[in-house]
Amino acid sequence: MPEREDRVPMSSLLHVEELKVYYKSVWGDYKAVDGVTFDVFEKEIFSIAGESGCGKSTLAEGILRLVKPPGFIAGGQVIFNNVDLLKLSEEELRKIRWTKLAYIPQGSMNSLNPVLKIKEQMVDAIVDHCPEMEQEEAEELAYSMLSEVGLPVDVAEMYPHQLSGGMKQRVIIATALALKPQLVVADEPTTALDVVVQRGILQLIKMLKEKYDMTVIFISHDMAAHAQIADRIAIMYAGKIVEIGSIEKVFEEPLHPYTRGLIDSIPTIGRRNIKGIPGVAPSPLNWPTGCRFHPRCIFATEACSKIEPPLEELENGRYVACHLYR
Amino acid sequence: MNEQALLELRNVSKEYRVGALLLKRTIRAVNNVTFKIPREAYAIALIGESGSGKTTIAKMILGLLKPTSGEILYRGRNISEWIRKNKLEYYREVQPIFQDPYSVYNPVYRIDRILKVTAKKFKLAKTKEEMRSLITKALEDVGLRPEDVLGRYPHQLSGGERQRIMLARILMLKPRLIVADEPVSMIDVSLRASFLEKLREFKEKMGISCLYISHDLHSASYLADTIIVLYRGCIVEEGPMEKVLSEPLHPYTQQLLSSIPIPDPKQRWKEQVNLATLEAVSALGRGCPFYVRCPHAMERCSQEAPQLKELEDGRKVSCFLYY
Amino acid sequence: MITSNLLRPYVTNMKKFLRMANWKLKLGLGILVFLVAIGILEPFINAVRLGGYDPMEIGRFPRWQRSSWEHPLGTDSFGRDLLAVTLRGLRYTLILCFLSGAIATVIAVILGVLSGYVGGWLDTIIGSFTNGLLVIPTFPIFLLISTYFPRIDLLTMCLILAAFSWPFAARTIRAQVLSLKNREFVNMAKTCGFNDLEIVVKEIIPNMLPYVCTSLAFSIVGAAFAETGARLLGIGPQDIPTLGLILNWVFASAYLMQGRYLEVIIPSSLLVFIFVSFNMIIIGLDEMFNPRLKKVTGM
Repeated sequence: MPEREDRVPMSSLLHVEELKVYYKSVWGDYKAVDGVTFDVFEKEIFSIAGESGCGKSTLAEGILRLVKPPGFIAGGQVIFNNVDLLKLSEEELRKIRWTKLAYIPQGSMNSLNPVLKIKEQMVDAIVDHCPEMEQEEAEELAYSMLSEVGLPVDVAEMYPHQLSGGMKQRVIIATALALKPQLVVADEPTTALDVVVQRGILQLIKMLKEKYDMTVIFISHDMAAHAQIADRIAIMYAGKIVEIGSIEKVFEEPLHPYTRGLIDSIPTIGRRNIKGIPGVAPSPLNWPTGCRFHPRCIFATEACSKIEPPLEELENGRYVACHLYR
Repeated sequence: MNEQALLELRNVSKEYRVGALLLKRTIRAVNNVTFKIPREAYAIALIGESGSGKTTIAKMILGLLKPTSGEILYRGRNISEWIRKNKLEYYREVQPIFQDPYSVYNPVYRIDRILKVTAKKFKLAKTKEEMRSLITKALEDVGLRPEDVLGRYPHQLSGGERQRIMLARILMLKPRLIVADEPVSMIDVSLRASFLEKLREFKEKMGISCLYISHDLHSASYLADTIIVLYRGCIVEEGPMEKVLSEPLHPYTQQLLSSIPIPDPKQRWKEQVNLATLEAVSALGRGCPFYVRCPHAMERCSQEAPQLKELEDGRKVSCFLYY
Repeated sequence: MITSNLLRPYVTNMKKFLRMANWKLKLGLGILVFLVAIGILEPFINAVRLGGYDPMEIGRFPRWQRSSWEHPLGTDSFGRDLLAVTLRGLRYTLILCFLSGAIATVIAVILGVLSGYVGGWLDTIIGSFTNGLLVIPTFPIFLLISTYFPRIDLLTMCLILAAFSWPFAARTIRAQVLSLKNREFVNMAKTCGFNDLEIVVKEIIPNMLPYVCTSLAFSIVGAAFAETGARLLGIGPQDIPTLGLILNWVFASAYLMQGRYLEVIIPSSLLVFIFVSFNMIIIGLDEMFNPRLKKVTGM
């Protein structure tokens, strides 16, 4: 992508440039995230959609510098508030974490400490990242956040096993947002929850984002969830982004064949012939040559198997990586 | 031809005693459930969320758990008798598809072992060549390339492939009834269509009936003739698929349907749901189990538990709004 | 046909282990194999060196000789060539700890599987029995038995040692079985018409092999420890040489004070190598089966 730096608009809160996150193994490098570029603007809900193995969770870890060995960051920049996160020291990073950048990892509701009360866990997290705060202040904050997410105050005195899945997830959200961060990355916050609770959590995230002027990166494989709350969406496949656009435009007129396939796969009542996408997802050890989707694409041409189409802007804000549009 | 149903559950309940010595409580995972699969080539979708008892019902039908009360009849005979006297014949006709495509395979063995073992146990092939060709054909029929799959270990294949191998196994056996417990919830969305299509093919072309257990009403609609909605171990609604989906009667079914996100940014949810009421659990011990979450709750609902009543059009509902 | 089918998963797994074994496992196995080789060859070595005489024979050689080319470890107060006795001690120590470890593991697997898989009243009975044995201080009992029956043979020693180490392994194995029996592939096997015995042998035990191996290694090392400890206190049959017994003589006759260092270092080093090799095997196995402990994935 030519001259990215001077085209970054002023209100871009996060700019990711050619980020690469690989995993070392005895068989070679797993190129989980292989050159990803996108912008996230202030106060929007930016969705990252994709199926298993596309690299979206690894992307979240890469952005937040939470990649653990055998994974490693193989290149790229993550510019947050005009600072490259990948170049910061652990100390400096610590100052930003939780206060400006928050993370709700996948399955985090199951990672609550079973032997500590909710209040203690929340206060621990708050005080850890905001050492100037007094114990009582932190407790006050914990209580107020619990009521923000609609939980009764007595939850603070309970243990995780006494709460339902939805309640635990709300505790996680309350803790992550306690210090009112600018950017929240939520990775599959509604998987493993009942459908009625999923709706509640999604609406809660949207409501909190409006209330606190936050920016949210929402990662999920559930396209319908994205349709309900996102402002803009990026579709990820095989370690790369294949399409970016506003949620309405992408759903109304999906450009990339994979996006089209994804949207067509959503079962809805009345649609008796849901289609799927033929073939299987490729392995990160051995991405296909050229366009990574070409083995499964019904529009694939010879050029598709040889040359990899770059992610290009078609019209304002609409990006696609496909030879059909070049 | 006798009118006996393929599978019939009569007043089946399953209770668990939990807690230590003096604090023992009884939990009813399944509460007085009655329904039947009337014949071949028929699919029933059993819809329920966590805690509804759907997996417990699946395990009881498969003989992995025994009901505390009530009986389960397969082709007129009690399942416990089938398993005691004709175990292999029972499993020849009733087979599962489980939810997790990883844990169904013993990680110590290669993936073909399950197919070979099935062929051997149920005597599907007489010679090695027959077995090999049976397996190869079954794999090809479900859209897998045998050379990509045979000889591999489970962790070397993707979830979608592993679940398709389960389909190949079913194809080899050709049972009469498949008990599918959330078969697509752990595979990618783009692969679900072909999987469900295969199940529909089994039903329509091979006459295999299916008990499709899921929390997802939409994917169930692909396959099911009848939908049964479970809430906390009780059946709250039963009826033909199109009717239940277009005109849900029970407040829980209505809530379920309205919670499924519509994949259209122009049709966004308007109302904010109240999570506090959604997750409330009734501690009353009597009355309708849905009482605390129900927007139409009446005084009567907290005192008496409604029964499953049949309405004029044949649909069944367990709610005082209708009687 | 049946055995080859039964053993195949074990054999293929063994080959897989060796191919993917990390250096700790290989080093440990290497040292162990070396020691075992000496133990196996010991009768021949001694036959060559001593001309066919029993190393334990009293008065064969002049007493109290210091190290020399003829007697690299000198002779003891009974006129026995200490190198010959040490080699025999190595052999018997290895036999003892392998045998008692194996017996203990077999008992532990049988009882652990019965307890975990069948459950119910059988679990309660076996569990109480296991817990009871665990609570009894095994070492004092072992000392008591050894004191009352001073002339026991090697096999009896093995059985006594095994009798006290199986409870530890049985508890871990029972826990493993409990977690495995609820896995979905066991349900799958049931719907293929497998009966309980087939499930235990074909589905559950192959998944427990790493734990059984580590258990075995622990039992072996435990037996060596117990035996050496008792010997150093002077307990045990004096006519069966083990490395522990030799160390007992060496300390009792103050060889260190006499400046006979080699006689102290060689037997103790052999013991240390036995422990070290088993520990490396245990750690290596552990790292292999818990790849998170390693830095590079071997997926």
